[in-house]
Amino acid sequence: MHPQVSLPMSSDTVGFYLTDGPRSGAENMTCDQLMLEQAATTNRPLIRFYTWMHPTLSLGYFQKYSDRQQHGPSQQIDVVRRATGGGAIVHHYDWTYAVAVPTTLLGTPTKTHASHGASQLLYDTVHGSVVAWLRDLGWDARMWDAKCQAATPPGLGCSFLCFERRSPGDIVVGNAKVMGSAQRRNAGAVLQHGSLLLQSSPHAPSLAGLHELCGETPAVQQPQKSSYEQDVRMAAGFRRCLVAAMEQLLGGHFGELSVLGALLPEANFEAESRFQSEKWTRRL
Amino acid sequence: MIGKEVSGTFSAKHPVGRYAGKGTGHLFPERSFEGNLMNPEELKYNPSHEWVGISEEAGERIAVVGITDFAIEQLTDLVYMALPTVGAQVQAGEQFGEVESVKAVSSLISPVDGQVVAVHSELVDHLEQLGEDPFGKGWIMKVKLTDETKLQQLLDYAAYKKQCAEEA
Repeated sequence: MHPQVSLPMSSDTVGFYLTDGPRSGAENMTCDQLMLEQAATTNRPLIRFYTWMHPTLSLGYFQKYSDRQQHGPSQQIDVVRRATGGGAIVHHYDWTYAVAVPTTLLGTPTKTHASHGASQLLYDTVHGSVVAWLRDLGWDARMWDAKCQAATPPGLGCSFLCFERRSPGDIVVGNAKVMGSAQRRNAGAVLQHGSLLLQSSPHAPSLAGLHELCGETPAVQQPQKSSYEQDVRMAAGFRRCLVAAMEQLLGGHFGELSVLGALLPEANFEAESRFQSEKWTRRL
Repeated sequence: MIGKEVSGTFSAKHPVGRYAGKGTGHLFPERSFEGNLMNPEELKYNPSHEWVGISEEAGERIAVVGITDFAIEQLTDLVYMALPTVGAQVQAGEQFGEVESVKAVSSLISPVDGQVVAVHSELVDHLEQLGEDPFGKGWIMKVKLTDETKLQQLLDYAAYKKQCAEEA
């Protein structure tokens, strides 16, 4: 539990965002879960951009732990199970985000449960903004659509790794998926978690990130391989684009916070969390 | 505990075969629900798209619960489902199970209070039944009611159809 922190509010503030980390897998998943619960109880949307203390494999909510055996390169890294669905992600050279939005703000008639259309709108808003931002930077990014889906080789839909799967709305550069997101829909709020793949990892060498995709696609304006400083600037651009998209969707301003306790006063990593437990990680 | 599961009694697709035995789970084995089609116009509905029908069985008021055709269509390709275990207590407005479509895990919200007396456990391996026959073979659980007043808070058919039209 954190001491009370005053929040930077203005008349048009609808929510808050934070750049956080690096944290362990369990801490990151605990924060995601708390965001979902808090968005529902406070009726305030939250965004967290975060990084990982160590390379970590995050399993989708319904994935079997034993399926991990299929993927040799990630055997030795930390593992955690997400609350969201989808395939496994190797978090190493990626930027991760989580957005939690109360259903009341998603235009749901019932005010108790996000309609599937409203949840899809959240998904499309975030991915649409990232596609536009990547294209501005020179990558030939687009959303995977139903036409692409028809041409998808059999088996791609159920690969172990999220970034080897393809489904409508995924962000691809050429044929390489560079961003995927998944949701958890509860009564009261929707959590959307996603990852933008920056660079190939030795723990998932089959996947190319944005760095590897420089110069390999007919880009609008050829992006250059980036330096660390450029990556830092790019990360800030990624955050700005996503926050701006959420501000447009929800019709208000998101205030920036600097400490986790301001975003999630209930975060207490010394308390028991299901995401730390082997029972949870190996539950399937 | 942070992020504690609501009931902690779910069985998902894979554990069902290993731990929960085969076929339909029943607290009272003499009961059998054949998955007869229920008339949607006679059912009550959660705003979150679960339906409930009430029947008398062996002198007890039993609620049969499923999810609607509208919800199934909106969710699109269902890939996993987790159900409660027989004997679990469920509460109106609280999560009793989960379903995963391609992009999302969604909570299934109980429309009633009571004890789960039967679970359609075959469903997790035959999710197509949800789409083929949502008001019949797609039933999810049967609940022995403990508080019938909660039924009055549910939507009737006309109100539910109106909500669907607004969401579509």
